Amino acid sequence: MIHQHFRVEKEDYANAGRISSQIKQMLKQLGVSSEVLRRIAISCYEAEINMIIHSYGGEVVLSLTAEGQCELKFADIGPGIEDVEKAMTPGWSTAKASAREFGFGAGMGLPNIKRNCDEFTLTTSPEGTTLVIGFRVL
Amino acid sequence: MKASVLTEKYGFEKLSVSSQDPEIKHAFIGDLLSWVMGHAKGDDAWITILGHPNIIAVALLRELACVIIAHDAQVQPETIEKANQEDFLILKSSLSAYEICKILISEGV
Repeated sequence: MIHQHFRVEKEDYANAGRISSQIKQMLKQLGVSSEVLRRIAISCYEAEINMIIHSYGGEVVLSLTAEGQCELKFADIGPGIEDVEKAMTPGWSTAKASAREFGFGAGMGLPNIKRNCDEFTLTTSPEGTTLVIGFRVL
Repeated sequence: MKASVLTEKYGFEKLSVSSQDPEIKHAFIGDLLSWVMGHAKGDDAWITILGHPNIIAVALLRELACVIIAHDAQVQPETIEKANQEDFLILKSSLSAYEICKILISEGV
């Protein structure tokens, strides 16, 4: 059983993708297939970026069981997603102009995640949002 | 085609110090990171006008062949530094994405 925590800071665009790279590298060394790695990398990157752009910060928790189940939990401390249905709609975004200048804010984050993971659970309130995504890796 | 054809035959500028001469199998044009993450394929040459360091994170995560900056768009020094650290190739051209694609197609991509 592997259990690892990573800290995500608000608006830390300079390091965006660092956690996703670390997780991908770790899973690659464990022999996860390139097809599953691709889906994990896409989902993890999108969720990491969402936290950087939209949240006050939080953490990512990677769990890998001996049975071959990989779970990624993205838990932030707010401000929550106002309208989850809209957030799940491709092309809809609340990203600020500063984020859009960097090429973020396509409104494809959550739809990309849902399309690429095997399990998807999203809970949100003004106190924080928690996204848990699962993959069968072995 | 090899990426070096673009520098040697067509005068594209090599922005990063990379020892790699990747094989370009396909190309993807896009300036929205999520579209690239979601739709690009491994070994794509990614043609973009984005110059922020996040393009390197996306390119590495998707295992793209290289990034080609179109229209001589500005690239931040941090982006080049990150590419150098990762031994990843960034090329630059004054041509538009369309004109770059025409070259790629003429070379069999």
